[in-house]
Amino acid sequence: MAIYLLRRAVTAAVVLLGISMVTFALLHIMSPSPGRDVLGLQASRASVAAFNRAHGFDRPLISQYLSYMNQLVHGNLGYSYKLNQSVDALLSENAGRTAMLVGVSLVIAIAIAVPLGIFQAVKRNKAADNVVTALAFTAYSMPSFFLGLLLIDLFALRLHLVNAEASQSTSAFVIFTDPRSMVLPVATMAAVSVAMYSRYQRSATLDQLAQDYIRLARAKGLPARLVLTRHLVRNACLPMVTLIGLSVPLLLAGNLVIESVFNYPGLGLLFFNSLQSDDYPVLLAYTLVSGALTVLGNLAADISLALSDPRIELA
Amino acid sequence: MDDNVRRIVSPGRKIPLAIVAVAAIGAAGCGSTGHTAAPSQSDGYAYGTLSAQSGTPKAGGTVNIAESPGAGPTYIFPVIPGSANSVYVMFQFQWQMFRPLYWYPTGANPAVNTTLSLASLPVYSNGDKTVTINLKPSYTWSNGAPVDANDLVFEIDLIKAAIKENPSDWAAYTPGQFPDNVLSATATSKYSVTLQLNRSYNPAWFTDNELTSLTPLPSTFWNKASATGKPLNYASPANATAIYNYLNGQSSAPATFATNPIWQDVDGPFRLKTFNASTDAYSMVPNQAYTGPQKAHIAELNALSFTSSTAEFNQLTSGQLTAGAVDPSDLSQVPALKAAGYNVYGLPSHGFNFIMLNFLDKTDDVNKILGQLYIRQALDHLIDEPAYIASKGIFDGAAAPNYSSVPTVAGSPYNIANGTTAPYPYSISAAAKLLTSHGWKVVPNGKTTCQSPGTGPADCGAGIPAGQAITFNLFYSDQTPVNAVQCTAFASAAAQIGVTVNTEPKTFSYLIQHFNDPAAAADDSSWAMEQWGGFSITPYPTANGTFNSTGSSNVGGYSSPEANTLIHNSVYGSDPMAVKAEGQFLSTSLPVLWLPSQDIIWAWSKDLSGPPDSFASLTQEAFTPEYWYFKN
Repeated sequence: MAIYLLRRAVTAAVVLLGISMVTFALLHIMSPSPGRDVLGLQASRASVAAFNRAHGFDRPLISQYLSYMNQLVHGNLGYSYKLNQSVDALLSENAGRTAMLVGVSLVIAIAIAVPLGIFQAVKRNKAADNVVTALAFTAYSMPSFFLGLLLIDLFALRLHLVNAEASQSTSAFVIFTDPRSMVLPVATMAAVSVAMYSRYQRSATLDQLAQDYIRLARAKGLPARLVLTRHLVRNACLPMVTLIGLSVPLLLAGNLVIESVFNYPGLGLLFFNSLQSDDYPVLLAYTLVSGALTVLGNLAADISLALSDPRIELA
Repeated sequence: MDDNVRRIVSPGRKIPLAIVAVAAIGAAGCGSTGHTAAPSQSDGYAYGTLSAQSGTPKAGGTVNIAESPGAGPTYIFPVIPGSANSVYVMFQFQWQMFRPLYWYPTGANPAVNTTLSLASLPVYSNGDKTVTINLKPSYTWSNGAPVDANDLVFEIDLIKAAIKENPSDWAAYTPGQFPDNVLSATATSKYSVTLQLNRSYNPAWFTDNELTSLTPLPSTFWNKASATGKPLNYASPANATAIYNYLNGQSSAPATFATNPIWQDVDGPFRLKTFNASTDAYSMVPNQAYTGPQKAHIAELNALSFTSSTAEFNQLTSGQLTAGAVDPSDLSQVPALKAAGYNVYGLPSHGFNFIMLNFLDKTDDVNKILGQLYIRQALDHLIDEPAYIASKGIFDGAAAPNYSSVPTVAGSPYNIANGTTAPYPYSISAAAKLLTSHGWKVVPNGKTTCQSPGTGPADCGAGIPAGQAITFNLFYSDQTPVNAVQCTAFASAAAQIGVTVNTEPKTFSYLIQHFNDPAAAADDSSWAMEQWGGFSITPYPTANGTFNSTGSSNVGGYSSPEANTLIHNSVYGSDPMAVKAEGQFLSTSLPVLWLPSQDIIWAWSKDLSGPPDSFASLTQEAFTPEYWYFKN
C-alpha cells in the first residue's frame, strides 16, 4: 500500500506540473495583455505598459512561469489585482461555503439515490420503476437554472414558504443555521444529482441481481430483505464509490448556475468572474487546486474500493 | 485615461473603467439634487416617468439597495488605481464618504452639481493658465477638522507620488495631463488653492475633465506612513510616497475597511458600518458630523451584492429590495414590478454606442474603402436606429437615438443641432445610390464591385481597383444578445446592396486585447469592424484621445485634419462651446457607425421618496441617498 501511495503521489505531482504548464500557456495565449483588460480600453498606453511591467506580464513566458512556480512552492498563490485580495484569502473565504453547499447536497443526493436505485432495480419494469424513471429523466434533462427559477417562483414568490435567495452569511454552517434560505439551493442541486446517481445505482443493482451469488442466496431460502441488505447492497454500491470519488472536485468547483440563481457567491462564480476579467492568479490557483482535488478524489476512490472489496488489490 | 471618455458601456454590463471628469461651466446653477424640479435629461426618450416628490419625511428606516452584479467596491482610498476603478467604486461607494471637489451629475444631467461640490466653480485667469479653487468653508471632517485648501494640495501630492510609482496607480492619469500639466499647486489661503498650468486650457475642458477627478483628503489625519507614525510633511516627495504606500496598503485590506479608523474620518453624509470582503456588500450609517446641504433621513444604507441580475430581480419581485437596477432582459416583467409597488425609470447613460471602423485594415482594401466618406455614409444609411429601439427583440423601447459623440441631453449647453435626427437615415435605396454614383455596380444580395476606379467625383476612390468587392468582418461582443441582433440586422441590410459583412462573436476581453490596442499594429489587418457597446463620457464631451489622429485610444485609426483642429479647440481653445462644433462635424464625418444608447433602468419602492433628481441620477449610476426618505 505504501509503495502504491508513493507511486500515485509522484504521478500526481507530474500531472499537476503538466496542468500548471498547460494552463499557464493557454491563459497567456488567450490574454496577451492583461493590463489592457484590467485597466480598460481607455487606459493610456503608459498605464497599460506600467501595469504589465509591475506584474511581470512583459517578461518571457518561461520566466513568468518559473516565478510563479517559485512563489507557489513557498505557499503563495498570488494576488488578485481585480479583487484587491490575496488568492489565498479569496479561496478560503469561498471554499467553506461552497464545500458545505455541495457537500450537503451530495450527501442528500446519495442518501436518496442509493435506496431509490435499488428499489427501482428490484421493482424493475413495474409501475413504480417506470414512474421514478420518468421523474429521474425529467429532473436530469431539466436545466438546473430553470429548475431553480421554478422552485423560487413557486415556493418563495407565490407560497412564501422559503426565501428566494440563499443566506448571505459568510459562515460555512449557514445551511444549518438558516435552513429557510438554504432549502432551495440545496434541493435544486440535489435534484439533478439524485436523478443521475439513481440511474447509476439502478443499473449497478440490476447487474448484481443477475449474479450467481444472488441466485444462490435466494435458492438457499434467504428472505428477500436479507438478500438485499447482506449480499446485494455492498456489491451494488461499489460503482457509487467511484462516482463519489470523482465528485470530490465539485466541492471546489461549486456550481455556477446555482450560485448565480440563488445569489450564493462561491468558488464557481469566483472562477467564472476571474475568467471574464483575466484574473490570472485566481485562474491559475483555481485550476491547480481543482487538479489536485481530482487526483486526490481518484486516489480516494481507489483506496475506498480496495477497502470495500477485498478482491481488489492495490499494487 | 484618455480625456473625457471614461468607461465602456456594453448593454447589460458595465465595464469598470476609470471615471474622471465632468462639470459644465455653463451649467452652473442648472439645478441640484436638492431641487424638486423635473429631471433635466430628455424625457422624450426616458423609460417610464419620474414620480414627483411626495409625503413627509420619516426619520429612520433602512434602504436596501442592489449593487451591480459582480461589481462591488474593492478599494476605499480615493486615489483609485485603474484596476479598481468604476462608477460603482467611486460614485456609489467612495463619494458617500469622501466628497469630491466637484460632484456630478446633477440628476441625470451630466453637469457639476454646485450644491454638492466641496468648492465653488473654479475661476480662470492669466489667459486660462491660472486656476483658483475656493473651497466652501462649511465642510468639516468627522473628527472636527475643516476641509480646507491643504486637503486638496495633500491629495495632489499623493497623486503625484502614486503615478511616480506606477502610472496605473491613479486611474484618471493620462501622460501630459493632470497633474503633469500643473506647474504648481499652492494653498494661497485657508480655503483657496491656486493651480499654475503649463499652458492655456479650455476652462470647460479643464473643469470637466480634470478637476472633477479630485477628492480632498484629511491632511491632518492621513499624513502618516504607519498607524502609529508621526505626521509627515507631504510636500516632500519622499514623504508623500511613504504616505501613499501606507494608505494604499490599508486600502488593500478589504476585511478592515469598516474597522480601520483611517476610513472613518469622512466628510460625506455617510460612514462605513460594515464591509463583507467576501461579497463586497456593505452598510453605511449617517455621518452625524456631516455639514453638507442635506443630512441623511434614513438610518442605514445596505448595499447588497448579487451574483446575477436574475438573483437581483428575484429579490426585487419578492419585495426584499428598496431599490435596484432592472436588467434589459427583465423588461417584460416591469408591469409586474410596478404592481408590486415599485417606481421604474430609465435613461441612457451619458455616452454613445457605435460600430467601430478600422481605417487601418489592408485586407481586401478595407482601409481604402472605409477611407471614402460616401461609403461610410452608405453604411450608416443601413442602420435603422428607430427600428432597433422599437424592436422587442432589441431594445424594446428602452433606448435613445444617438448620432454623434456628443449625446443629446436636455438642458446641456453642448447639444448639437438635430442631435437626435439621423444625418443619414435608414434607406437601402439611398445607400445603393451612393455606391452607384461613385462607380460601383450594385448587385443586391450578390457582390457589388468597383467598375470605375479612380479619384474623380464619379469614381470609386483612391486605391480601390476595378473589380474590388466590399467585404468586412464584423466582430461583436457576445456579452448580450442585443449586440448580436444589431450586427445581424446591419449585415442583412448590407447584403441588400451587395456588401458582405461577416459577423462573428467574440468575448469582450478578446476584442479589447486583440483589436483595441493602438500600439498592437500586428492586429491592424485582422478586423474591419467591431461592436462591443460604447463609451460613457463626461459632460464636456470632446472626443480627444478617441478620434484625434494621435489619440492613444484611436483604435480604428480615424484621421481627419478638420477633426484634429476641432478637438484641439475643445481642449486648448478659449471657447467653452468648442465641443459643439466638434460633435457636429463627427456626426457627419462618421469615424464610427452610430448606434442607439441603451437605457439604464432602476426600480425603487413607492414607499421611498425624495427630490426627483436624487432618483434620476440613478440612471447615471450615481447615489445621493441622503435625500431619500420613507414616507410617513
